[in-house]
Amino acid sequence: MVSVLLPVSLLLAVLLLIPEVFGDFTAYQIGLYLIYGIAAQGIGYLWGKTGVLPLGQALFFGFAAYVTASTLRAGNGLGIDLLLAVTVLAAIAVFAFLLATLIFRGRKESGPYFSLITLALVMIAEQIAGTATPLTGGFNGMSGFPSLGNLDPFGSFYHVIVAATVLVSLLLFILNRLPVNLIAKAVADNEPRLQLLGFPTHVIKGAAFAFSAAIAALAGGLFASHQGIVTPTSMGFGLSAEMVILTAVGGRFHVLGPLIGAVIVGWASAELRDSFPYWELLMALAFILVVLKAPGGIAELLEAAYRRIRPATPGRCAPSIAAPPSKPTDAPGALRFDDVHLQIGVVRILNGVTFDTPSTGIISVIGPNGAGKTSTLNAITGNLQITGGSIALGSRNIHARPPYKALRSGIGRKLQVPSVFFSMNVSENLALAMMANRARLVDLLRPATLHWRSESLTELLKRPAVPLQEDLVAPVAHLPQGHRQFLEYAMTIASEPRVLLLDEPCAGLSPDETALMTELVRTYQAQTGGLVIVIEHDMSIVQAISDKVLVLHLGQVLAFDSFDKVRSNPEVQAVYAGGTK
Amino acid sequence: MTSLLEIDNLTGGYRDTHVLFNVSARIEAGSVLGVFGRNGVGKTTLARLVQGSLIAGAGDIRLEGHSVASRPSHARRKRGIGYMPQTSMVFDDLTVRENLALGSNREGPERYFDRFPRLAERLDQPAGTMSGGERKILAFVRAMTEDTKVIVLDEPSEGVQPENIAHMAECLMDRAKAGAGILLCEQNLSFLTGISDWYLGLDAGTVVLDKPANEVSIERLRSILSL
Repeated sequence: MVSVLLPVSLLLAVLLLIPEVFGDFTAYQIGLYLIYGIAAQGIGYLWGKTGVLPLGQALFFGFAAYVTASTLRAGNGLGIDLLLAVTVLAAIAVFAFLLATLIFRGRKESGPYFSLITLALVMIAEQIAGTATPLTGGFNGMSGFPSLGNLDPFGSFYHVIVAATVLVSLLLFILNRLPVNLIAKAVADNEPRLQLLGFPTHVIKGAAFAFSAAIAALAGGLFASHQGIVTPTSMGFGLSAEMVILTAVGGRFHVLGPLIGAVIVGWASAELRDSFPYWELLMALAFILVVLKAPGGIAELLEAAYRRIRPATPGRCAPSIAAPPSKPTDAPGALRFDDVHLQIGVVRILNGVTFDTPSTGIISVIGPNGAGKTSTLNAITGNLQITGGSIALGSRNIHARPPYKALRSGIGRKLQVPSVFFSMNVSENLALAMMANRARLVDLLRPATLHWRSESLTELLKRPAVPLQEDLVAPVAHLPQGHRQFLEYAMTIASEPRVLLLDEPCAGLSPDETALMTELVRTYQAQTGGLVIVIEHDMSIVQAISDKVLVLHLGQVLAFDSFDKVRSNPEVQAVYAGGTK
Repeated sequence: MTSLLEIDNLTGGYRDTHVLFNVSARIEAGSVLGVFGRNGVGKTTLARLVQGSLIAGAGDIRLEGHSVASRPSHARRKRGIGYMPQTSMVFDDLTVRENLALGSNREGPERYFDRFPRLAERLDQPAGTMSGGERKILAFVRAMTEDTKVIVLDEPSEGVQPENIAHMAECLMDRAKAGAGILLCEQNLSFLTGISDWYLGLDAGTVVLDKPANEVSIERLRSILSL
């Protein structure tokens, strides 16, 4: 808790000292910078955590500013003003959530589309604000309304801004310690993996955008009350871009970064504006320098300087907590492909694949490179949408389901190239996997959830040959490929799926590690009694683990039988000889 | 006498974390150096230090007698060090033909189509729509066609069907016969033993075996992979 209370207390102390030390006018100026800083903190949360860059935050800032101006002008009294403010914040959050969720639905990555749409929206809004004179006052804007609670903008209103700044910072510091923070970071790191862990990433991005929009709106309301005038520029692209710059300069990865950026840039602009004719050029150069030399902004430089004085202590893993059982999934059953076709552009990948697995056992999938093995798994998990036929698990058709629903059907997937969260350490990767198909919404707001560990995962990590126990606090980006294979396997079975899809789990493993992985897969199947489908090229592994072997060639089923029958099949021999490491 | 590639007391890794310690090796023109060891012993780090995406903390790397240890990866590529990484090896949005056309090539890819006919069939297909094994083959053929003196390959056989691994071995032998030096990081022993002239065994970032292939038994190789 010290990591939350200490910086927030320091922030509060510094901000409260400003009017005492520098006087009311400086406090008034700093108050304005803090208002922009609050809005930038919302951008920092969205951009720094989820990787989604909003280019139109002034839409919410300006809208809230206009509504505040109208409300204050009406003179309804403080109680009604505050009630309206809460209502507007909630409405803006709901609008932002719906907008982002709709844009991101069905997309695998964030891409530039969202940023461009927010840019277009804020340009439209600025145009409307400038022309809808009866509502907004047109280009002259709205003015002549009192401050909230009739507080003096050059006096006591500064303390309202300080309170808002401290509360938003406190909230962001607390969020940093919760599982939701890890999930937000995971979106930026590896969205397809997060979806396969059962997280609807479009909803997560929608929620993060709603949160940042509400913060921007809060700042907009404070702005109207503080400045006493609202013009279309408060709702324009220029302000939106400025907020992004403040965030980048201050540091989008740190809670206080955007505040630092806003105060420093605001103060420097004010000081230089009257004394140096090329001040904008100087500011632009400073911005380029900071972005190039310190991508994490001024906050990153300050943190690096602090770490030189007080180096970080090596990370430790907190004691684990027994995880709750996995949520029940759809009833298990056989996996049935019925005349499945898959075509991307003119490329036919699957050409009428039909097979019917038992509901338990280990099925190996073999075939030449390009036969359609990985695409078959992609069709099962919804990573590729089939263009014909059907795929059913038990009595349910699953082919139209998006990837994040695969785990709800009881399907866990390990990808061909180990797909893990590279910006995190091993413990954080496992924590995300433990939340998959277990955590309720309320669990995502409890720090204890980060320490969940199931019995089976604990057993797996305890095995001396599994190379993860000693790597728990190691950054995954530094792990060798083989260790990543074991990590991704551990993450995939953490949610105890009834159907386990493994795409070349032994690729890049030494013979000993291959034997270990083979044993782990066999043990998992025996313990769960579920269905395991393994893509593999090494015929000694295929022989050792398979109850049946599915042979694919040119997107069609060539054979589906026992290992011995497949091996003696002349058609299979003609296209695929196999081999061992 | 100067070797084609000389690695002297190389130490390096990721920022302040060193993974490789005092590793030395030589690759002569026309030979294959097989680098092997368990996961995490530093094979990929060695490959990246030679290729230049990691810069060594200490030691030297010389190509034809000229130090390249402090040069960026693109400069080393110009000098003649080619590289096939373990992952992320092709441009998914470009077609197979476009992928093969990139770089300064010593020859067209056509001569490899007999061994890898799927590439010829898929020349106009975006590489991202190909399977993992096919993408690996595409990256391999591109590495073969490039105008390089030393080719560094990091686990090229991973995810590739055995017949195609055999074809990869033939191609590497051809390049070696033509005078190239090959640095092959592999765990697939049947692939490694089929073409290596010299073995460099690693464990915990240090060299535990550095001998001509004909002096090392398969049991010795297996024992190092099981350390």
